[in-house]
Amino acid sequence: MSVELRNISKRFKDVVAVDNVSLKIEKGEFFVFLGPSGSGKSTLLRIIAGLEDPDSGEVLIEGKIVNEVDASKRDVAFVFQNYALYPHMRVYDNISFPLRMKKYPKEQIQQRVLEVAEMLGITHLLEKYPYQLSGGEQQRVALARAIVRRPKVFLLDEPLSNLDAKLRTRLRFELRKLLHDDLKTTTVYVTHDQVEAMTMADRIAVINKGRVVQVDEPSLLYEKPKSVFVASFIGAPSMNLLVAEATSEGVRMGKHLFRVRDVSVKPGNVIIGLRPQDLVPGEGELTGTLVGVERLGSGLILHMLIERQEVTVYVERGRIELSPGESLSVNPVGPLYLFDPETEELIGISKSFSVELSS
Amino acid sequence: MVGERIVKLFLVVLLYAALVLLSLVYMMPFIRSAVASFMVWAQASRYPPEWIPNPFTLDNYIKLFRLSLFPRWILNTAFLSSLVTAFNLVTSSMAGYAFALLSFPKKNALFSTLLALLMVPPFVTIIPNFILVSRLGLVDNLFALAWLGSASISSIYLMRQYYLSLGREVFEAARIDGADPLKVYFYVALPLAKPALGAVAVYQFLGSWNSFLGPLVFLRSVENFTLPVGLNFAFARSMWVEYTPIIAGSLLASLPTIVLYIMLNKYLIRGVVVTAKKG
Repeated sequence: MSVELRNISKRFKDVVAVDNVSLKIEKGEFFVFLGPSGSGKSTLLRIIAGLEDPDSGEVLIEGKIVNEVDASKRDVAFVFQNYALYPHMRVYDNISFPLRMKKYPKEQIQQRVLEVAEMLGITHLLEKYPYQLSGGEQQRVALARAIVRRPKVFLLDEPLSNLDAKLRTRLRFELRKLLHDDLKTTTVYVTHDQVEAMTMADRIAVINKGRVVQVDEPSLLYEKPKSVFVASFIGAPSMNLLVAEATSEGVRMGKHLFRVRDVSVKPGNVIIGLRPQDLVPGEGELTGTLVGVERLGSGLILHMLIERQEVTVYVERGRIELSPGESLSVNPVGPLYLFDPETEELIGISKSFSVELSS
Repeated sequence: MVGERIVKLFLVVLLYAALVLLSLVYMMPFIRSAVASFMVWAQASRYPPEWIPNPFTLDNYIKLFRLSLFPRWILNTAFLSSLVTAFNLVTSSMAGYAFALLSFPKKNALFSTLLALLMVPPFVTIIPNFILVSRLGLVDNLFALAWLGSASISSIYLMRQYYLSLGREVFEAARIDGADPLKVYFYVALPLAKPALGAVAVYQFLGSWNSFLGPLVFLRSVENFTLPVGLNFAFARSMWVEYTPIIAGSLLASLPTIVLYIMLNKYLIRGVVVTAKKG
């Protein structure tokens, strides 16, 4: 079912948690709210669930305004970051709880609980108490409790952040497959982890300081960030953002001159963005000093100084052997992003540019 | 190395000596009562105090059991204490739940007002309460006395803090799962609050078992007396009080509360530990 937010605002005393947010989540979509902690993304999810009341604006589920509908009647399922299982109930009773509240007949409850337990591979845990389970098992029980109801919408608040890295990677794949591909239910997923967002989402809303900064498909967010915030938040390592000056000949950063042919830039200060993956060490016009190397196993992150500004370069393994202090040249092979330093918004993306050394 | 060990040992001995001394000071009244209950009043009231009963006498206990109303008073006290405890379990678990988890207008103002009432000494409310009770024609009625003690601010506060310590998510989860506030209370809040309910029960039971002022003011006829009031009544002479039988009676009276404490002790401590882990 579709979910729509219209001009939603919410403040806690003096802090604006959500600032005039409007967006529409389509039926069956896997939608992710992505933002740093304290950005208001969880508050937004809680407003959809009915756990918080917005100060202004409307929440619509299936096209109906639900502002006055209590959380218990909205027919949405919510998975909490700490799972919020009922500690005094066995797993079976935890999963069947929503059905018991709706007074389903006993046989039907049993049938559905067993079906869901089977689906999630937790049939052997049904007689246990939550404290006897591992984090991953608790996570599955929380999911089962959400799924068993066949709700209109799934709301998940950082459901993987309490798990270890390996389990997290596996579950994010499983979760999307289950909720999106198999159950085909509208899902709103909150996370601060951009990798999680990129791998799972149909569309992502990037949220910063209570505002929706950009809503797009994952690949578009990466390729066409609308602002400095999105550019630096999406992608790992994050995009190099450097201070430069636009002149009549091109964009100048110290003695480096970027001749931009396909974007017109007004003279004045400008922020240029280069992805670490788009910088190739070797013969190139961008020269600086290497200051450090991080070894990831799968590759290297080089930290270098160009014109006294820090630049990171991502290299695949074995392609470079250098020690800090040595000078290094890199060649930009990807697009050059240009941002306005005042508004921090994108001016343009240049795919046709060259770098020259001149003073 | 050896020197260090000796210093450490010395410190441990010192620490234990201090602990033993302090616990002796703390237990002194109890030991004194136990000893004095086997003394004649002439010896028990002597100064400086004597510690070995001479002559050893069971007279005090015999006097107690010669009182035909003694069992009746025990029953009255048990009845009153159970009623007060039961009332408090209901009122504090519900009010605490409302203050911790529900939202309603002026919630915080109401709660602050409630806490401010803790500052009012009980003696101040005795006269208005007495007028109220007597207008209702309920003086000398154990139910009326229980009703007066049916809610306690400190218990409400204790329950509220306990619910808050459990974290709001588990209650929110129940709400999302389709439970209305009353169902959340019965299915989630109440079962999870068992340790706190145990604490409230012990405090309330002990408090009303030992209470003196309320029963003294609100009860009139001898057969309605509770143990503390009854004992005082039985052994108060016009100019002096014969304390040794009262001491013996108090000792007997404290037995059930001690048993109750030992029974619930484990439970209480486990409750505290669970809260600590959560917090």
